[in-house]
Amino acid sequence: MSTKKKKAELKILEEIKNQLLLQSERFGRTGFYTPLKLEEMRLEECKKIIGEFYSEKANLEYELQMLDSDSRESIIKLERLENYTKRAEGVARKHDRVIKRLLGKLVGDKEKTKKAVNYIEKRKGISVLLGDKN
Amino acid sequence: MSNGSFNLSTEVNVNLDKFYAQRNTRQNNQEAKQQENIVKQDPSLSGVQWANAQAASQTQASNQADIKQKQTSTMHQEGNSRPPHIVSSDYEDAAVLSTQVATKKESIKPAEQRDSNNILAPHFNMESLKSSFKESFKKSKSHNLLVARFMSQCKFSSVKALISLLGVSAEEQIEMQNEVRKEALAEIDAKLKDCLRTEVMIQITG
Repeated sequence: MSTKKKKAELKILEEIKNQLLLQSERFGRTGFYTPLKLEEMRLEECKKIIGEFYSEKANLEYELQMLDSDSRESIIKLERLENYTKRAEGVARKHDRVIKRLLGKLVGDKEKTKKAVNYIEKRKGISVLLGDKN
Repeated sequence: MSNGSFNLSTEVNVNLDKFYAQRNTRQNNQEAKQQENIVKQDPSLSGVQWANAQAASQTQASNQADIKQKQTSTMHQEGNSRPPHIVSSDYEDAAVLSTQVATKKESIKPAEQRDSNNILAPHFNMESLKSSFKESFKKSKSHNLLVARFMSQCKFSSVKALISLLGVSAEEQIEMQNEVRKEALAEIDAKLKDCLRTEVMIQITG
């Protein structure tokens, strides 16, 4: 697919997405589809696609081993599938990174939050004074 | 015989005089009663209030007359076996006490509205109206500004008014709206997932 066509398709998809988000807001679901939520949805879809690739790969391998079909065609398909799975995994990693970055933004200063978490965890400990009898 | 006849005529004259005298006294009594009634009325009443009071008294009188008529008709239906019953002046109170109190919601509705519903309801297909109500509500929340405005301000409001005129309660309308909202949000979610899936597929394959 040429980059121009790809860009045009992505632009149309972006427009559709914006329209859907606007409609959901008009139905009273404001602030539900945050960038983080959308990124999570993308990652989820990416994982689904990877799963489908793996199932297709298993089917092709079974076809090659058991049914003795046209081996050349199946091998080409397998190679393509492997490439696509690698790409899909790369895309999934990319979305994962974006999610982490967005979560980092939400957390704010990491050192301060770490201190706060440690302070809360310390307070959970049982006091020794409870057992004293004066 | 002539003496007898003379005497008879004098007696008749005497009786007539008595009769006229009694009639005059009756008339005088009636006039006095009417004057007493007028005096009993509040002098501070305005013209309209007085007219209302008069109308109320007339309706009471007509009600009493109706009751009497109904009673006589029922007596006739029973086969004239019983003698006619004279309605006392206290019967009006009994009629007031025996008025029926409406307990169902439908019967509480004003008479005019019930009548209009009865007239209009058979001429409309309620199911199609409800479906058009749902459709117009869904379109009133469209992403397209022009469509949304037209639908919300024109079609949806008119269908809503018609439905409420035909007796669909506000609660039922809200329920329908909630149902449509749920369906629409589920549809939007599915479409959005599809859109994102296509986006990811382009990223993978492109």
